[in-house]
Formats: sequence, structure tokens, C-alpha cells
Amino acid sequence: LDELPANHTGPQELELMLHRTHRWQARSLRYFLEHPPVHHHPVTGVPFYQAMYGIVHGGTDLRLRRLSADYLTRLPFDGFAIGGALGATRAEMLTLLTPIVKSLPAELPRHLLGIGDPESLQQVFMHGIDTCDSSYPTRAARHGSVYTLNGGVIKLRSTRYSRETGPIDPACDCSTCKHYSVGYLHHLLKANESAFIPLVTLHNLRVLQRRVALIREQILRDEI
Amino acid sequence: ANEQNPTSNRKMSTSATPMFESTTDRLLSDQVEVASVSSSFAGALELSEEERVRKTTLMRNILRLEVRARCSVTQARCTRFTLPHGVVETPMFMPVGTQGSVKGLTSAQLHRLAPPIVLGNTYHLGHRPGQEVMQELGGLHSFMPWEHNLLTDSGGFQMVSLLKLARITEEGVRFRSPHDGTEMVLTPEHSMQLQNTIGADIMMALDDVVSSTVSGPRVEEAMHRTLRWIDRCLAAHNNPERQCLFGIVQGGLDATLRDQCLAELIRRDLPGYAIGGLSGGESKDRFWRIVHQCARALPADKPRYLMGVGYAIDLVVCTALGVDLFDCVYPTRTARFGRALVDHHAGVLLSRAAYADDTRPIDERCDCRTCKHYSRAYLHLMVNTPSGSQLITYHNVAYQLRLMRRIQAALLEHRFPQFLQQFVSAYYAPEFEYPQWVLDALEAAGFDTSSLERRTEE
Repeated sequence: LDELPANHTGPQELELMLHRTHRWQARSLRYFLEHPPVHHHPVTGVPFYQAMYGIVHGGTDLRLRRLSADYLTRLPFDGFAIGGALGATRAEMLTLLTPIVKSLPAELPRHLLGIGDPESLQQVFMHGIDTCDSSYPTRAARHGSVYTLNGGVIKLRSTRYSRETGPIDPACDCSTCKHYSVGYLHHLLKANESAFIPLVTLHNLRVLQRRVALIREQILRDEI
Repeated sequence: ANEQNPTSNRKMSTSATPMFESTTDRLLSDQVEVASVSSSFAGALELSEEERVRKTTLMRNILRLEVRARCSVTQARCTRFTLPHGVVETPMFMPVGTQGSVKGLTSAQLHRLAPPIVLGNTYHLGHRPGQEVMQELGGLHSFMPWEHNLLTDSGGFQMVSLLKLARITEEGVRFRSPHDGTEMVLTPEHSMQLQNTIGADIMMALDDVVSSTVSGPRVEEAMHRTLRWIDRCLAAHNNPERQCLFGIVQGGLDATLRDQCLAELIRRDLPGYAIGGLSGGESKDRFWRIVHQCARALPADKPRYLMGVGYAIDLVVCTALGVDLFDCVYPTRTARFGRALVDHHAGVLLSRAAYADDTRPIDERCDCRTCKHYSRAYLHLMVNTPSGSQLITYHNVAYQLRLMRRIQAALLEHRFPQFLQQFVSAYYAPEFEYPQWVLDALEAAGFDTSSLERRTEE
């Protein structure tokens, strides 16, 4: 359990909150270690355990960020996330990310909370992040914004798509692109039909999945 | 076809004079209202006998029905009939996909459930995506997409029930477009045009449908107008090689009017017939009697479709009365309110707190994906969310289709009366308070209701 500071928290308050969040995280970890949870696979019955991550805070203050990483990395967490605000723009975020990532151990996973748009994902992975999560791609889908593999976004609500017989992206291999025309998806959205939701959600996730897989390949081939 | 004076040239009939017997023009004396109708609407098409025969012959080639089994006790039968997008086995339930989507289900999920026929609504589709887009995108089968059969209603019922300012005239249904206020009219010709574009395998005639709670001369007027409109529909139907036009029996709750309507429609030799004008606010007692009357009178070699029905007990009882096809929004709508369908009148209302930790599926006997993978506890949590509604909808449609297949199997194995006994008893267990209409209808169908389970007195 961590504490997420509100956007305009002043520097003194931020520091107090940082220490409190550290205490909470230590308490969480202690409880976790003293009560190892055991769950069993619903089919095989094989027991599995849970991992626990610590979350680095400190807002946009580099000194606080380093302090947070320094403290949390001394605790036996299984991995580390970077939480809280990292700046108003992507550029600011990336600038801050480099030193924070450097302060995290190389042999443990590094997770960045709240990033999910394809362009940002590309950038943060290049800055040393391993995993991200975000509700953005699925929410954007529900609102009619669907991705294409080459980085475009189609806003399905636009009337220009009402007669479109092709799929969202002919290069996409998801079942939505295999079976449904953009014209039909546009219709479902305008008609407020809930069947729209799983179709576009699946598509956006598949596009992200493939784009991120491509990044992994490029890293393995030393292309980035 | 664009004559300004329709009355003298139109070949029409009343119940007293058979249609198409004579080629001479006749002004029929009791069609007084027609004479007084303004003759200033263009576009009303006439139907010659040759045209009628040509079109109904073409449609008879598309829809061929064979009776596979007949219950020896009740009026139920199991049939199989052909349509351009596949064979249909009856009794069968048709889920409703109002706007080209069965609410909450993707086309892929619908294909997995595989109902042989799905309904679309001409009124809604005519507005959105509209006739032009539908034409360009190749019809509703390509649009959804959907491999099996489609049925579209005429648009008339929606207009009358949805639009506050709809007026029925001889021309058609006059209304103000709710979108921009312009005066419009849905004529039989236009309904056929729209339905031809949508491309459903079965098209419904535009009928003058009156609420079942209305009585008096309006009901008779509507019945006669429905007959005049069926001829205009037949005349305007441009695709009899690939689409079947069903007529709709009207006449309200009046047996005499129903008889007249039945006789006239049967004379048109349409490929199939629907029993309309019910499932409104009428009492269940009057409802079953009209279903019974119509099902008995309709030809055995054509499908009999009861519109807007319904609950599982309705399906079972009306099957016993001889109905083959049903449609209803109930299973999909009730799913969105959290109610899962089972063989009991109460269903499973998943929003109830009692289900919060119930790890069982909705129905242990159901083989649908929802029941295979999701517990009542999970669904309880997800009720009122799109995902939850979709999962329950999937189960409810699967339930309805499986019920119809169970009925078919019982008929084919000559044990439909035993099925009735067991199903109806379980549906009303443990109180066994059978509604009077269910008992009366089953008796009229030939079933001995004394075989139903009763409460044992201590």
C-alpha cells in the first residue's frame, strides 16, 4: 500500500508523505513475509505464491526519488514500480526516468504505472522499463479510438467511416479485423450497442501486444 | 401502378367473395371506407393474379417444409424447412438483433450459439445505418456478419409503439421523423424496398397492427387493411427468388375477425404465416385462445410464427398448440437486468446477495461457456456491467435454444407429453400453483393436466 500525492502537493508535504509511504510499504512487506500466501491452481491444484513489488515515489523531485529508491531497494521486494507523477509532459517524464531507473537493481523487474499509449510505451522501454500497465488502451477503445499497427489512431465515431467496408487495419491479425468492417463498428458505436466493447478492446490490446513484441525483437537483435 | 384513382381498378376481396376468381374489376360494396379514402397517394402497387402466382411459386421453391414428427396427444410438431441461409428445425426460438446486433453478443458469439434465424428491425436499421449504407455494405448478412438466416419485421410495429405521432392511413404509417420533424410515411411498398435492401431470408408484411387492448371498429378496420396491404406488399416485393414474405394474421381478440383474416391470407398462398397482434396487454386467457384458433387454421405445410413470445412457459404451451417459430426480447433484456433463465419461473436473479458466494454455475445442466467457466458469485459481482450483462445474455440465448432443441428431441422421440409433464411441473415447483391459462391451454391442446405434480396435503 502506497500513498499517491495529489498533483499540487507542496515540497514539504511531499517529503512527509514520502516517509509515510515508505513506512506503509515496509509494513506491507513485513506482513507479506510473515504470512506467505499460498494459492492453488484451480485446475492442477499446484500451489503458487505471490510476488510483492515496492513503489518508488518522490514526485518530480530527483532528490526525493533517489532517496526513495535508496530506501526501498534495501528491502527484500521482488521487483520495483515507479509510481506517482513524473512531470507534465512525456519529455519531462523521460528525463526523470533515466536516473530513477539507474537507481534500481538491474536484476529485478522494473514496472512503470499508468503508461499505455503506444508511443510512450516505446520510449519508456528504451529507458529501461520492463513492464507497464494502463487502462488507457481499453478505455480509448470503448470511446472509439482504435490503434493501427503503424502508429495511427482511427476515431470510429467519425461519419467518414460509415460506409467503410475494410477492417480497422488490414495488417492486424485479430478476430475483429478478420470479421468486422469499420462501417459496422462505426454503426455499433453510434447505435450504442454493447457488443462494440469487446470487439475494439480486443483489437487495441492485440495491436499493443504486437508492437511490444516487436520492441522485444528489436532489443534482442540489438536494433534498439 | 401510379394510378390516381385506386378504387375502381383495384382487385380486392372481402370475406364473402374469394379473391382472384375473376379478372373483371369489381367495386366491392362493403369496402365503403376504401371509396372514401383519399385517392391522392401515388406509389400503391396493384397485384395481378399472375404476379401473385409467380412470386409465391418462387418463394415456395426457397422454403420447403417437411413435418418430421407430430405429437399424437397435442398439436405440437417438429418440422424442418429450408431457407437460403440454411435449414431451420422447429420448434425454434429466434433471438432479436434489433440494430444488427443481439445486444451484448458479438457476431462470433452468436455464430457459436448458432440460432438458425435472427431478427432485425427494419425501423431501426432504416434509420441507422439507413438504406443507402446498407445497400453499399451489401445487406445485413455481410454487415453483421451473419452466416445463417435473418428475419426482418416490417417496421410498422416499432413505429406505432415508439412514435407518439404515428397515424395509420390507407397509404401507410404517417409519422414525424423524430430526428428532424419532417412528415414521412412508411408504405407497404417502402417497407418491402427497405427489407429487400436489408436482404433477410424472411420478410414480414406491413400490417395494420392494433394493440390487443383496443376493441371495436378499429380492430376490424385494421384487419381489412392488413389484407389490402398484403397484396401491395406482394406486388412490391422485388426479390421473391431469395426472400420469403410472410403474412401476419390480425383481428385482435375477435374470433370472427381472426377467421376472416386467416381465410384471406391462406388464399394468398404465402410461404409462411405469423400470428400477430398479441403479446400486448391482453389477458393470458384470451391470448392462448387466439393462438389455438390461428395455429389450428394455418396450413400444416408452412411455418407458423407467433410474434413477440416469450417466456419459457409460453414457448412450451404454444408449441403444444402447434406453433413453430417464436421471437422475443425477453431473454436478452432480462439478462441485462441480471436475471439468468433456468427451468423455473423465477429464473436466477444474480443481483441477489444470496449469490455472492455461490460457486456453482447458473445451471449445472447447461453446457454454455458462461456456465462452463463462470460462477454465480462472479456474475453477481459483474451484474450491471457490460461484461456481466454479456455473459448472462450468452447463457440466456443458449438456454432458449437448448430448450427448443429439447422440445424437438422430445417430439422426435414421441415423448413430448412426458416432457410437458416434467417441464411444467418443475417450472412451478414447489408450490405447483399453475396459472389457469396454462392448464386450459394445455387441455385444449390435448394434454391431460391431471398428470402435473400437485402439492401433497399433510
